[in-house]
Amino acid sequence: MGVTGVLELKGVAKDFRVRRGTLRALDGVDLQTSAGEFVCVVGASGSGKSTLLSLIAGLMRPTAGQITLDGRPVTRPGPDRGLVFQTGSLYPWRTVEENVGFGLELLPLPKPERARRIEWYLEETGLAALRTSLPRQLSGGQQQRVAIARALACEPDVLLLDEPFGALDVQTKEDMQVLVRRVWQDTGTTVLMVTHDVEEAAFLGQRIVVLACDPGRVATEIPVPLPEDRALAVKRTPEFLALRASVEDLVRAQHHRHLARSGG
Amino acid sequence: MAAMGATGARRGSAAAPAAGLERPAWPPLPQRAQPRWAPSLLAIRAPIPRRSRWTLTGLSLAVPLTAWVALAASGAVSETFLPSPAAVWSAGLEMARTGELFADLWATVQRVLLGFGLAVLVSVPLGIVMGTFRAGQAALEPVIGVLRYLPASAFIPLLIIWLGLGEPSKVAILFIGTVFFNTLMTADVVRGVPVALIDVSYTLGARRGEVLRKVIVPHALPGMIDAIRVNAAAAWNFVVVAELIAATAGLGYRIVRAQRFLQTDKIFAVLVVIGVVGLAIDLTLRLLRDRVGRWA
Repeated sequence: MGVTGVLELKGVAKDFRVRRGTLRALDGVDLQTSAGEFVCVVGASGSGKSTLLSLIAGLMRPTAGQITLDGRPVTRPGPDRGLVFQTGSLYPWRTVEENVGFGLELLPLPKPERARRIEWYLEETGLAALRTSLPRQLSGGQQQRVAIARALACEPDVLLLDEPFGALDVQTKEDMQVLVRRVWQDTGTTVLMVTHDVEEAAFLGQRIVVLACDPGRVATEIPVPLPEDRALAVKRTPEFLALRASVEDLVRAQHHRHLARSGG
Repeated sequence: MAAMGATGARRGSAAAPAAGLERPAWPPLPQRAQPRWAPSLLAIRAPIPRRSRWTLTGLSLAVPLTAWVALAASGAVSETFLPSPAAVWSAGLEMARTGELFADLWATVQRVLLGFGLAVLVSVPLGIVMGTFRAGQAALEPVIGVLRYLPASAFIPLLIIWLGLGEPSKVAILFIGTVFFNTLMTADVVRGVPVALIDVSYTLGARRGEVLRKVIVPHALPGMIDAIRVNAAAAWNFVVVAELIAATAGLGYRIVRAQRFLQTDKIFAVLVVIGVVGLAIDLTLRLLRDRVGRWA
């Protein structure tokens, strides 16, 4: 795979101003991806998962620490870091193909070349038959496929997924997991995905990063000892179940600490 | 960790209740009788049969019209105060035959196009600036918020002193009456563009100007047309007010003139024309909005 997509976070902290003083959402986060890696970040609520992605996307600036992508410091959002939210980030007045082509329209790209690329991403994500549909005509899973295709069309060095399947039903979610793994293998993009679903993280990731709560920081990192070619059936193997159980215990422990502190 | 300290007091509630908490043997919940009167036509937000819909619409037009006819025919009210529909119709026809109706209508429409058109040209960009940039909001909102509460009709004497009795003062009243409302409503619509949509556009490589042009404006467009629709009705009101003062043509002027000669049938005819033209404007803008906002 390519040599791009090396994301590096060093001592990243983020404070939010609250009514009295500040609240530290993230503290001393160190994280690194290798080029083309699939990393899943799991954490209970209050672990600052989404804040972490916003920082990497450049939508906010960290209070302390550094974020670099292939050695370049991250200071603002850009097409080298594609972002997919949980729901509702499609342009409702644009058709599927116009959504996918949004980023390409901003570039000095000849029209046939743009069309050719849009076509490829539509095929890759199984949206070819829906190219002229509007977002409101699509199911939740189809909408997320458009969001993924739209981000990938900009050929990002890192694809950031923020709970992208959190609002989908279980069957659709599994279809999407298979799709994301295939797309990842076809494009070679580094993927950093945030989720609270440990099973999803174990199925998708090469490595799982568990976040601690209050403030959010890296509790532990766990390599995923599963074969690279994974079918959904892998979720029933003893290796998978053991991994899932141990990660779930870690996340649950953090969840309880969070409850004990916040009284929620 | 200031926030931690504040919530620490509730720590006890974090623990789940111990298993096996027994529910007291309280009496069963009281039952409520079904409401006796629940007509399906009055079910909240529920669709009603097509026939009922048309019947109700027909009645809402027919009842006042019939009442008018009956009242005029009964002779209970003098023809001078309440002309019969037939008299109004023939007065209208007569005004149309002489051509004064169309001259007046055109004079009024011209003022609306000019005054409200200018207001739209100013308020839409201003509203977009206010809704998009916090700096724009901080700078404009207090001023416009105050100006909006000054009644446009109160400006009439001042405008006559400043601009004279001619066209400019009438156009100015229309402008003042609509520009501030339309600015604030446009700003509100623009502020309704989801932040996620703006954020995601930046990650797709869009710059500020592109976000404004390719995301904020298209998303806000149907809402902006809605605002224009609401304020077009206001403009239509203000123009008649403006013409009551000093005009030599226009629907408002025609009403004042008819009053001098006690021609109530003419007044009624002009009112009908105002209503019909207003409805036509509203329908046109609604059609435009539905076309533009097909995606919503």
